[in-house]
Amino acid sequence: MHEPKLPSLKIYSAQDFPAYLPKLNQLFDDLFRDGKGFRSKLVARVAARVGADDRCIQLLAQTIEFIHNASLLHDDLIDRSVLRRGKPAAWTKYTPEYAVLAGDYLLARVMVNLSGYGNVRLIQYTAEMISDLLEGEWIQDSLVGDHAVTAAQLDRVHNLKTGSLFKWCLRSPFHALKRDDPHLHEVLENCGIILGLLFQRSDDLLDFDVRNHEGKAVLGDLKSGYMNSFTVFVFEGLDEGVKSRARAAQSLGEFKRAVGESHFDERLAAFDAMNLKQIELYAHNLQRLRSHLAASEQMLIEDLSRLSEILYWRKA
Amino acid sequence: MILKSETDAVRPQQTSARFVTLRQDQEAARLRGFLRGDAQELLERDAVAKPVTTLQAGALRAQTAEWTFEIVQLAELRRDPWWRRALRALRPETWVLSLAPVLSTLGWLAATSAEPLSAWRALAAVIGVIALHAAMNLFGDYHDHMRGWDRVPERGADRVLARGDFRGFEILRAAWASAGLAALCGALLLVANFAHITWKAALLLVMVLAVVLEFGINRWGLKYRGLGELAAWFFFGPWLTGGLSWALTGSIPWSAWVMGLPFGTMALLILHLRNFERIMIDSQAGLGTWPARAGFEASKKFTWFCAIALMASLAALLVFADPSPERFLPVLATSLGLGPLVGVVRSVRSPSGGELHGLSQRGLRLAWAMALSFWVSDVIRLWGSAVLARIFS
Repeated sequence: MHEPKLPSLKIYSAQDFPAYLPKLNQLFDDLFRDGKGFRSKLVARVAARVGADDRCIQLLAQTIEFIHNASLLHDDLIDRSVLRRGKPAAWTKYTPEYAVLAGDYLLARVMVNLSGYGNVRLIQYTAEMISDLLEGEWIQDSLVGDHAVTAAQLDRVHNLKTGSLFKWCLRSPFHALKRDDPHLHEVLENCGIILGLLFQRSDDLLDFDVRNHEGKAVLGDLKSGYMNSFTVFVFEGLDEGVKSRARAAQSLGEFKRAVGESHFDERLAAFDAMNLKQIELYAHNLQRLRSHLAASEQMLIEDLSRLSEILYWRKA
Repeated sequence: MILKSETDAVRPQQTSARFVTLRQDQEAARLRGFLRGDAQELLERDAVAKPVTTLQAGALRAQTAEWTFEIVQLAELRRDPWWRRALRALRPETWVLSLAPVLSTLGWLAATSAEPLSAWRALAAVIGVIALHAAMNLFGDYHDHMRGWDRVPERGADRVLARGDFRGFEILRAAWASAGLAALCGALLLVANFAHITWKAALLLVMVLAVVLEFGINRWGLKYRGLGELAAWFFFGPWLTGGLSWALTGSIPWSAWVMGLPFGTMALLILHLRNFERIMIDSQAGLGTWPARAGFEASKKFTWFCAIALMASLAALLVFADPSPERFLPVLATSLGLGPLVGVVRSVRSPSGGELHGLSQRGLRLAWAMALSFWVSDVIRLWGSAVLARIFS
């Protein structure tokens, strides 16, 4: 496949931040060193395929990583997570105050950089996305300990949090190029919503050691009182006593015994089937995207079509 | 298999075998056929077009001009038996809102009216009200479906049209049939009470018909500009009890209006709970329901207000309209049921919280409990009268 020509992406540079603020650059150095940069690579690829110049690609890549990492700084403090990417979270290594301020600084930096670029629609859309992200975090925090949350409610929260970033990665390059056709953006929005759902649902499966190639800690969500989308799915139709025993499980084996091994396997198969339908819907939306792209941009469809496999089945 | 048409060359891409997306500005007729379920291509394939759910709140304000459908063969759908689907479409659990005031007022009129009540008029009134309520539910579901509201999970994704239980035109036919039955019953009662028709009664009837139509079809969006709650209080409360009194006796004493207060307040409470469940999506969509306007904390407080108003209206009924000892039963039953309900509302911490889910169903169960307590108190009254008559005869 013909690969797009991407500039070398530099997300973080110490020169971008004042050296006289104690520990700020050290914190950012820790933060940006180990990330996979998936979102910046996604937005860069989309931008390159539709003809954005290097300056625009660099701006978009840095913007999404700044926003994503700002949300991680805040999330870790809100959730009291002590580890991030296998290392101490910023709020534990530095202070909670510095973690909050560093996150705020990144968001402010985003606004400075976008303002300098001068595209008002892009600024507006980015601000809306950040607003959605915060709303999602606010609501998700209120769901900790809520054992009655429904799948539809979780989807809406995930759409605000995870989905917002994916939608931005798909839509912002077009806004940056002043391609603001509402029908184009509706298709991109649909694609972004589905990618966000697939990514979050697959992440929720990691909690049950399903396709857990990354070695993520098992039952972390359940133990911290958060009912993720797969937990809610498994619990459908079970009586309260079984759910209560399952919630108290300290190991995956204990959880499976509580809900029934065969019930767990059946629900996993049904969960995968449900998400396969989403993947099919995603493919349908990608085909619709074709009519909005020029002939030279059609490779974008091939790029994006692999994403659903990567995100849900966790295959590279 | 790709769904094709003769003008496919100028149509936007694309269809997969399972999904079809139609744009309102480009394929209005085809879209209408898919929504109504009578598009030739669907009928030929014996398939239904189920609207794909969306997380976009804009779908409630027709800000998305596209519909995506999943085309499903009827044979693939695991449908319940016809009668069960029909029952689901009629939503009988909501009939308590009209059955309760009607039957309770009947019992009250039977006990207090100087003349014996006409059995056929009573039957016509009950059937007419149920048919009107069912028609409102069906019209509401049909028009919400045609607007795409049932694509939004909180706004009807579990209803019969979104599930593929029936096609759109089938629900519309059933709505008209139900409305016709209600009209027939209404016409019979009008003819029977022709001598008692005053300008006030005529005005009341016209107002109610307008409210019912707007509630069902929502043509002017008044339901979601804060007037739905008021309409619910009026229609399920004083109008039903006052109207029933007129239909059976030719007059509407003020006590008949008082009879309607607790039932109207119960309907207001249930509608408020339902709108509170949807506060997040309604706010995002810009709908002006009372919870969306007032906000999360104020909506919880308004539930308290409704609970207090309900108890006050029951007290007013007891004192001013029907001061009989049996009527303490509904007061007791309602107060026992209200406590847990208000407790659940107090515990709601999030507009996306699990405790919000099913609040309106809890409200409906309370309404059934209140209705049953009224009917039991009527039975006690009748039985008591019969026993006393025997003792003293």
